[in-house]
Amino acid sequence: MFTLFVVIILFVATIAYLWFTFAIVYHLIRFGIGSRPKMIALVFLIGSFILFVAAAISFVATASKLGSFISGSIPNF
Amino acid sequence: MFDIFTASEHSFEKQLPGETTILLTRKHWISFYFPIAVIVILVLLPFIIYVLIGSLSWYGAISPFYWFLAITYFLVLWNLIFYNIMIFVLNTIVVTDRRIVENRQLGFFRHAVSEMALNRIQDITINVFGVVAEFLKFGDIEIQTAGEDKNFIFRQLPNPRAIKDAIVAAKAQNLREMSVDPVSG
Repeated sequence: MFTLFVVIILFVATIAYLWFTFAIVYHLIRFGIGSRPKMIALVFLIGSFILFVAAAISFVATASKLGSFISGSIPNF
Repeated sequence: MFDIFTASEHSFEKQLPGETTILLTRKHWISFYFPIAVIVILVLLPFIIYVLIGSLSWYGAISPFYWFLAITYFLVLWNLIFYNIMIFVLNTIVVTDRRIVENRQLGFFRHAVSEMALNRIQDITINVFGVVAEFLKFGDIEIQTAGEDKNFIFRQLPNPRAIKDAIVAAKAQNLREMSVDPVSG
């Protein structure tokens, strides 16, 4: 149950991140005038990818530890 | 492949055939300082909290979860920073040899485009308010057009005098071309 909750959260967060990232990159490339918007889009994309991967890794590492903690905290009736 | 990052023709959407871009400008960076200042303060927040709780006994138990939240927080701030940068970069004023085009990006899928023909310009006024504006060289440009057309006001532009001079020169050149070309007369 907890695993399913974690997967759903991760899925929704990934969709939101992808949509937001796509929208910013699309607008900068499509409507930006000159080369500066394209450079900004590249910097944004690289930084966003790095932070997303770091967040995903830390989430997976934390979720397993948090799941064990919650399981241990629930009294066995 | 990498020409997209090096070529800068200042071409824009709906540019007319044969139309030449004379000037491309955006708002002065001072209009962006407040969001930047707020975001810089927000970036420091997780580190400030870490300084406050890092020495506590229960910090070790929540440390991975805390830094997961911090990284996610940075990711959200990163997207917010570049959303503001996107809005700033996409708000442009383009002066061509035929018209002035103002692009205003109001959101992800909201934008407005205004344009005026150079030959409709009647008067250009520069307004520079305050010591900061004078030192940092930014101000407003108000363009009065002929007839019942609305006036255009461009706020917080860098080097407004240079922009005004460029518009005046472009208008003069446009009038010369129109007087020479019998077709457009």
